Amino acid sequence: MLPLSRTEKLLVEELDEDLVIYDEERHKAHRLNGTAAFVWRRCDGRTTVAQIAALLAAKTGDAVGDDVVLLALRQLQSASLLRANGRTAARPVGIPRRELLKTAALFAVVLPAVTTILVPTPAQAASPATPTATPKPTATPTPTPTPKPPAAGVWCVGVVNTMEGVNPDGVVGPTATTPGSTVCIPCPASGTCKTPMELRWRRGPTAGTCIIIVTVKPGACAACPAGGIRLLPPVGTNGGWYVV
Amino acid sequence: MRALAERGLDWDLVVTLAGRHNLVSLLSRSLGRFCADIVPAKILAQLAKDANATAAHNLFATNELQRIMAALAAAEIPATAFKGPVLACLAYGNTSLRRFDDLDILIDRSRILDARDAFASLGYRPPPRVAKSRHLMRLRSEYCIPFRGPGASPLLVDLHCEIAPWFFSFPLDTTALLERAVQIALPGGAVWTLSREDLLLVLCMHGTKHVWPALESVASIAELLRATPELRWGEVLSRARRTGSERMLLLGCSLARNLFDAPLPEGVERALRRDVAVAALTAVVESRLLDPHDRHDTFVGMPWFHMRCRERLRDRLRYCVRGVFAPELDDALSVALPRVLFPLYWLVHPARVLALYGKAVARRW
Repeated sequence: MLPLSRTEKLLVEELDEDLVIYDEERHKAHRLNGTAAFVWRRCDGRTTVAQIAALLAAKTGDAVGDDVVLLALRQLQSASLLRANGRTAARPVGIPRRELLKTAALFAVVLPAVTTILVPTPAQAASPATPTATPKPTATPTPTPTPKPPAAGVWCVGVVNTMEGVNPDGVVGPTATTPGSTVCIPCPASGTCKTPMELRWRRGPTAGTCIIIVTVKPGACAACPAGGIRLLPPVGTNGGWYVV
Repeated sequence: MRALAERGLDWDLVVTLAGRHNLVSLLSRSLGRFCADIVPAKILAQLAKDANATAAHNLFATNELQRIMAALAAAEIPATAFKGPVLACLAYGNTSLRRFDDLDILIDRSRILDARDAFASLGYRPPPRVAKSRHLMRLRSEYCIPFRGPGASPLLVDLHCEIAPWFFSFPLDTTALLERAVQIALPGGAVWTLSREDLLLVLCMHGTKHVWPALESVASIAELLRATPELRWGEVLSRARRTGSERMLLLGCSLARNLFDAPLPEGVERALRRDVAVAALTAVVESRLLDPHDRHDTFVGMPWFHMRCRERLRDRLRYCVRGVFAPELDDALSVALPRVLFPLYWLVHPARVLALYGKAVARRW
C-alpha cells in the first residue's frame, strides 16, 4: 500500500507541529495534529505504510505500529486529503479502537487526529449555525392578531462591542450577526420574541464595533410596541443592545 | 507565564479578555505549549476550539484574497493587500494566529470601476445601494468601498483607494505605496503588500484612528518590529514627519515597547523623549487597554484623542473642518442626490453627524 496525499486545491498552514488545511473544493478546513500531519506529509505514493511507521517511530523515539499509520490514513481519507490512487487505494481499515488505544498506551504514541472545522460558506452564513426553530423572514409574514404592529421597515439600531455581535444574554449569538440571517431578540413586551427579523450589520463608529440593523417585517410582531422592537439595555462586558 | 498561571487566575475572565483583545489564538498556543498541565482542560479546549475556528476562517479568507488578487492582476490593476492575512504572516509568521474579519486591498482611485468589475466576476458586490450609483464610487472624500462575498458570505472586502479617510488627513500617496509594494509568501502563493516601512506607519495610524481598541493592535506592531530588524527607520521617520503622523508613529512604538518589549532604535527613543505628549497619550491608551472593565466606548471622546495625536496645527484644523463637512459614502446612502447636486452633501454630512453624535450623547446622559 503506497498512500498518496492530495495537494491540489488545498491551502496548507503550519501551526507548530500541526497543520491547518483548507479544502477549496469542499469549503472545509481540517486540523491535523502532529502525528496525522507527519503521516500526510509522507504519503508521496512511494513510501509504504510500514516505512511511514518506521519514520514516525524514528521521529518520536518510540515503536509505532502500522495500525497507527492506518488510523491516520483512514482519517485523512475521510477528510478527502488522500488521492484515490489505483495502486495505493488507502481503503478504510477497520481497526478496533480498543486495540489502537492499547497500542498508543504501550508505545506512548500520540494518536493521529484530523479535526474538521466549520468554515463560513454562503450557505452556512445564510442561516444560523445552531439548528433552532427560528423561522426565516418571509416576504409575506403570517398575519397575527396584532394590536399594535410595528410599522413596515422600522429600523432598530444596536451597537455592540464586538464585530461578532455577541449579546451578553446569549440570545443573539455570533452567527446571528451574519448578513441576512434571522434572529429573535427578547422583547420586554412579550418575553422571548419569535418575530422574524432581517438582520444586517455594518461597521460601527469605532474599531471592534458594529451597527446591527434589524428590520421588523410589517405586522409580524403581535406584542411589540408600535414604535418598534425595544432592545435590551447594555449589560455585561461584551456590550449590549441600545434602543435608537 | 507559568508562575502567573499557577497563581490561580479567573480563567473565564482570561478567556473573555483574550476575546476582547483579539488574542485567543496566541493565548491558546502559548498556554498549550507552556502551561497545559496547569490550565483547566475545559479552558484549553474552549480556546483551542476558537483558535481552530479562526484558523479555518483565516485560510478561507486567504484563499479568497488569492482569488481576488489574481482577478485584479488579470485585469492589470496594480493592487496590494494589507492587514488581514498579510499582517498575520508578517507579524506572527502564520495566518492562523491573528483574527481578522475582512480583507483590505489598496488600488489606485482611477481603477476603482475596473476593480469593481473584477470583483463582480468573483461574485463580490458592494452593498446594493452603493452599487446603484457609479458616481458614488468616485466620491472624492470616500476612501474605501466595501464589497460583500457571493451570496450571504460573511467575508467582507474593503477596497481602498486611500489608506485613511480624507478627514483624517494622512496623506500617504497611494501611487507611491503601490510602487514601493513588496511580495510576501502566503498559503496559496505570493501576494503584493505594503513595504514594512509603510506598513508600520499605516498600523500606527490605524491604531490611533480606532483609539487602540485591543492589545492585538499593539502586539502586531511589536511582532512586526521584532521580525523586521532591517527596518529602514530613517525612511519611516522622515515619511512620518512629512505626512504629519510622527506622533501617531511614536505612540504606536511606545505602546509596543511598553506592553510587548518591542525593540526600538536610539533615534526613536530620542524622538520619544522629545515629544512629551506621546508619554501622556501612551498612559491614556495603556490604562484603557489594561482595564478589564473598559468597554471601549470611545464614540464621544474619539475626536479629542485624534486631535491630541496630531503634532501639526494644520492637520488638526483639517481634521475638524473635514470631519464636520466632508461627505462620506454614508451620507450618499442616507440621502440620494443626483450628480449635479453632489455639492449639497457638504451640508448633508454635518446634519447627519450632528444627529449621530446627538443621539450618542443623549444615550450617555
